[in-house]
Formats: sequence, C-alpha cells, structure tokens
Amino acid sequence: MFGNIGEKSISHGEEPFILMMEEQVLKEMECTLSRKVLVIGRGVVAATLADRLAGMGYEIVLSDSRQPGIEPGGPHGSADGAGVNSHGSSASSWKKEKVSILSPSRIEGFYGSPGRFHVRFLMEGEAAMEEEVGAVVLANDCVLEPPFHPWGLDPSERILSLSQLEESIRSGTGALSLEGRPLRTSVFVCGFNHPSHPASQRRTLEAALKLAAGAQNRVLFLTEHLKVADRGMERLGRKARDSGVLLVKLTGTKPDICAHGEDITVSFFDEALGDHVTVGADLLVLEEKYSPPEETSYLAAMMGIQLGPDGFFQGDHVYNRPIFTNRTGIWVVGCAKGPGSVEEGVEEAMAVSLEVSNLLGEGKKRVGEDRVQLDRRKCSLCLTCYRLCPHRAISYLNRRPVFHDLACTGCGICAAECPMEAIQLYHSPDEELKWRLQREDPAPTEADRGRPLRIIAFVCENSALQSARFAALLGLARPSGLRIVEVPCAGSVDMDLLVTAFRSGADGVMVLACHQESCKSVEGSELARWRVLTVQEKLEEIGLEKKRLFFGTLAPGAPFDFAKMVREMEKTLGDLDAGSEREKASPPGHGWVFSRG
Amino acid sequence: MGQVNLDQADPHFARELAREPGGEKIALCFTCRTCTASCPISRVNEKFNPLRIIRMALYGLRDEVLKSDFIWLCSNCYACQERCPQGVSVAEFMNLLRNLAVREGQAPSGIRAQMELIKGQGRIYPLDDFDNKKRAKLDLPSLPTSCRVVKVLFAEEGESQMSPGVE
Repeated sequence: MFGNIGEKSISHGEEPFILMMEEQVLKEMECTLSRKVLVIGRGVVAATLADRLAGMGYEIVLSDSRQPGIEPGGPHGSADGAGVNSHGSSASSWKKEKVSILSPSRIEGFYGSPGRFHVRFLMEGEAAMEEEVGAVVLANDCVLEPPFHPWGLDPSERILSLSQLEESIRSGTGALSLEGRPLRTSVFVCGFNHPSHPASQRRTLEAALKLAAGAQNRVLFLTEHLKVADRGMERLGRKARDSGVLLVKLTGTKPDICAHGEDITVSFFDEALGDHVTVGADLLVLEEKYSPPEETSYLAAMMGIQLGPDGFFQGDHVYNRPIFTNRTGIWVVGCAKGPGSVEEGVEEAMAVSLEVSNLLGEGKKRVGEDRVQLDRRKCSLCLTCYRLCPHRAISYLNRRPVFHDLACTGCGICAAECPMEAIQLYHSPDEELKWRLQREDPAPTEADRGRPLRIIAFVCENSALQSARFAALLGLARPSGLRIVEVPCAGSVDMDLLVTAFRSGADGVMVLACHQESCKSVEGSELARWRVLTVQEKLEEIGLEKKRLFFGTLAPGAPFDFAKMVREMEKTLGDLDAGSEREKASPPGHGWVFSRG
Repeated sequence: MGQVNLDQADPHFARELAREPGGEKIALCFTCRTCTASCPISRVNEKFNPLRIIRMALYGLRDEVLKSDFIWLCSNCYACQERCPQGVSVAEFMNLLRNLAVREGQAPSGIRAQMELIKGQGRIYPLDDFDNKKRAKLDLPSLPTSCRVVKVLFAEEGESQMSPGVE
C-alpha cells in the first residue's frame, strides 16, 4: 500500500539459502469438512439461523440446555412468541430431515478443529451421543435479571419488570388490564443500578408509547441518558416525546423510590428545573439487566472461547468483529455476545450463515500443509504448544502435534515457546531471521568506530509495523542505524532471536508489540514482554545494561509514538555509550530500511 | 420553588399547549440548554431561563408558568428559536404563554397599566397641551393628544379582554 519504501535488504542471486526459501511453494492438500453445523440456542435467532443454513444445504444440530420453546417477548422472542418450538412444528419452513433438535441436552465433550469438531452430548435418560460438526454457532439466550432487589422493592401488581409489562400488553390479560384500571401516572425506570442498553431502552419506549396513547395518562421515563445511537432510536425517541412521554434525564443522581402498600412514590432532582420533584405512580416499570446465558462459562472453558469482562461470549477486543470469537469455526450471535435486540440477532445470524458457507463450502477445502513446520526428531511431546495456542489450532494425534491450517493464524507463539525449537513458521523461520540479522552487519571492528548506533527493532505486523510505515510516509526523523524486522506477532520473537540480535552487533534491541488487551493472539504481547524481562536479567548477569533491550506497546495508527520510541532508544543508547569513542547521535537518516521492503 | 409535587400538576397542560400556534413542538425538547445558553436574560439571572419554563409546562405546572415573570422578561430576540436543535419555537412559545396569561388574568400590573394607557390614549406615554406648547416653541407641529382609532380597535376586541382579574 505504501509502495516500495526503502531498499530491500536481501539481494537476489547471492545467497542460495534465501533463494531456496522464497521459491518454495506451500504444499496444499484437499481435506474433507463436515457439513453439519451445531447451533446452540432455542430462541428466534437460533431458529432463524437453523432455517437459513438448512436452506443452504447444511445439516443442523440444535442443542440447548433447556426445553425447546421460549418465553415470548423480551430479547429472545418475537411478538408471536416464535422460537425453536414453533418452528419445529411447522414442517414446511423447517426442512425437518435436515435439522435435529437435541433439547434439553448438555455438551459433555468438545475437541477437534474447524471443519472437524467432535461434540459429545448428554441427554436425560439416554446414552451419550457423538456428532462430528464443521462449525459451531453460539446463539444462546441471555438471562434477564429481575430488577426488584437492586431498588429495594418487591414485585407486585403495580411494580413490574419490563418483560412482565410486555407480556401483559401482548396478552391483554394478567396483572395489568389497561382498560379496566385507571392509570393516571406510569413511571418507567431504565439504568441507574447498571448501565442501560439501547436495546432495552427501545423496548421501554415502545411500551411507554402504548401507555401514553391513552389521553388520560401521564408517562414518565427516567434514565441517565437516552441512548439514541442505535437504529431507529432517534425517531422512536421523538415519537415517544411527541406522544406525551416525558423524558427525565438524571445524569448525576438516582431517583428515590418508596413503596408503602398501594402507594408508590418516586422522587428525583430534575436537573433542567433545578428542583426536587415528587410524583405518585400508579404503575412502576423497571428495566432488567442483561446477563450472560447460564452455561456461558462452562461452554467457554470447554471450547476455549475468550469471555468479555461482563461474562458474555466475546472478549473485549479491538480485533473481535461482531460475530467472531477467538476460534475459527466458532461464531457467536445475538444476546450470547451481549445485550441486543432480536432484529440485530437475526441479522447477525444471516451474516454467520455466509461465514459458515465460506468455511465449509461444499465440504472440501484446500489447506496449506506446511504453514507450521515440525521437526519430529526434536519434539519431546511436552504439550507446551498445545496449551499455549490461543486459537486452539494444535491437537495431538499419534504422538505428535498436528497443526490445523484452518485455525492457525501463523502467530508463531508455538514456535517461540517450543523448548526444543522443533516448530518453525513457514514464512518466518528462525534460520532466515538469524541469517538476515547476521548478514546485516557482522561483529563490529576497529573500522566501525564512529558509525551510527545500530538498533534492531522487531515489530509486530499488526501494530508496530503499521505505525512504522506510517512514520516513514510522514517522513519523521528516525535513527539512521535503525533496522526493522517484521514478525507476525510479537509473541513469535523468542529469546534466542533477541540474543542473536545482540550477537550480530546491535547496540540496542527493541520489541514493539500490540497493547496487551488488543493482541490478536490474545497472549502474544504479554509473552513477548515476559521474554524481554527474562533476557534483560541475563544481560545484566553478563555485564550488559538492561536498557539495551526495550519492550514497548503501541497501536497500529501511531506513527508519532513509534518515532518517539525509536528516538528515545537512540538517546538512551547514546548515554550508555557516553565516554566511549562511538558517535553518539547521528544526523537523521532518510529512507527507512525494512527487511522485507 | 423547592419541592414540586406532580400530583398537583395538570397532565393535560402540555397537550393543550401543543395545540396552540407556537407550542407545537415543545415536547421534543431534550434539555440540551442551547436556548438558555443563548438567552440574554439568562445571562443576567440564571433563574430566568427558557428551559425551565418549557420543563414546567411539560410537567403541567400551569399556575407557576402563567404567573412567572420570565415570560414577560423575554426580549423576543429569537436567539433561542434560531438555535434550538429540535426546532422548538421557544420565543413564540413565550408569546403563547403571555397570551394565555392575559386571557386568564395573570398579566403583571405593569403590563396591564400599559394596556390601559394604549386603550385610553393610544400611546404608552400620554401627551397633553403642555407638551404641544413646548413643541410649538421649537417650531414643531403639534400632535393629537388622543387616538380615536386605537380606542375603536380595542372596543371591537371586546372589553372582556382587557378587564383585569385583580387590579
């Protein structure tokens, strides 16, 4: 994208070793993938997804820990209470022979790789079942926590949760009959005890609208902020306010709600008015908090899925696009990954169906055989690579590790951690890197006096490399002795490589990684930092200064950060060399040298 | 005001105002305070601001709104209306409230006094022969001391419009 910035540091025709590596074509072979898809869930989203995939020609296994059939309304169901249950009963839309429903069932075992996952189910009163599936989609329903306790209230005929009100409106019966009971004042409360979500505010506004339609009613909607940055919310907010719903924004305080017998009193400080306001409510409706599905941590542990800080099925991660998890072949849609509306979940189901067909296709796929190379003679079956792989792309078969191409992202963590150095990344083997480093500048001699400080920076492709390229484009000043070595992940830089860099004559070595919480390989950045700390201690032991080895993290679009880091490194090294006859600060160089151009 | 109890308020007031010209969009107000920030009266005294009036109207605090001084202090500069992101006709709303206040006999005494003068003399500042003598000394033409036309206008409006509830 930036064109040819800087010179390529490899010249062709000189070193047969490199030429050989570049000419080698990755071997490919065809493998068979299962065209069965496991969908976990039982609500509208799961049913829609199963429908869609079945229509595309895949077989579906639907599993959920609860009976099929769902509570209508809320974030799980649609207005008519549709879900797996109702879908299952209408054969025409269901293509029954393609879909098997295993509910209630529990997943007892899970292993394998994308295209060939093995799942073991346990159903009540039956023997365990095993299935081989090509892909998994987590479409479980989240849990709505009853809102009463956080407010110190008990549910009653007049104090309802949002779901209860929705049910009441839909069925026209139950605790609330809008015709029979005079409703002078209704108060809706969203948030305060937990952050309110647009999906739930939408439901609240829609319910409030229905109540405001009666001319006799006053409807108040108390919340911290009306979150209109969601589809249709701006319009819905206006419509609600136009219909008489009074929005009260309380950004600094909480409303005070007291219930004594039949009387409910709500008081709050209206910031616009600058006064305290009290109102007696005939109906109080409280928003529920969206919580992760019950079996989330259990499934996540079994499948190796990263959980987010709120416990839902998706790490809080820059690289996590909406429906993806950290594992290829396993996706998450709807409320399983966080609060959301049914409409969004259904859209995500459509998107996932495309991803599934991308992966599984017709059931055959060409995969690269040698992306990760293993030297079997060196492998000691320690299982380190298997344990560390963030994408669970390594399994063991016939007493040797197997690397699954579909799941492997080429991060190189396994290669770096292997204590026997039995694993090499095809595209970036240690041999090549070491050779390149040593070729650059052999060990310094008398003639090197006065040459600029040589800094070797291992830059992560996902962040530091982008920033470096950006810095080059901007023409930022850089140390003239800087050499940049791209690596697929900072986690692929092993300690051996760091030492080699020093042995090749570097005055300083840098490892520049992604921020820890943004690492595409989950643990790569942290592992790199740990290794740097270890090597720093070793350096001290042999009499070299710790500061010669630097670890830093940065974002992909941070050219100024990058330039600052490398300049400061040069300064640090210059200070360390103060008093020697080495040239301390070199004039800024032009043109950046990238080892791969 | 201190404590406001909505149970005493009139829940239909907002809808009633929405039906009048100038009050159509007040329910859209989302309390951004742009109007208050633009108001030259608010700059002098923060307690007088358009947002508060609108808020009180939406809550249905009819008496407080119609008795309020602010609606009369409004200078009709229209800065609030120009800038309101929701298209609320803030300045016209103030005028609407003024009309409502007069209709219900809530106008402040100063305003009523002015209206009496206009009705009687055709002017807020009454002219008499003394003023005309001074004008003659400066070679200025004299002016009529009363204006019949205005009297007729007010007579046609209906005396009830002008009758104060409390003198």
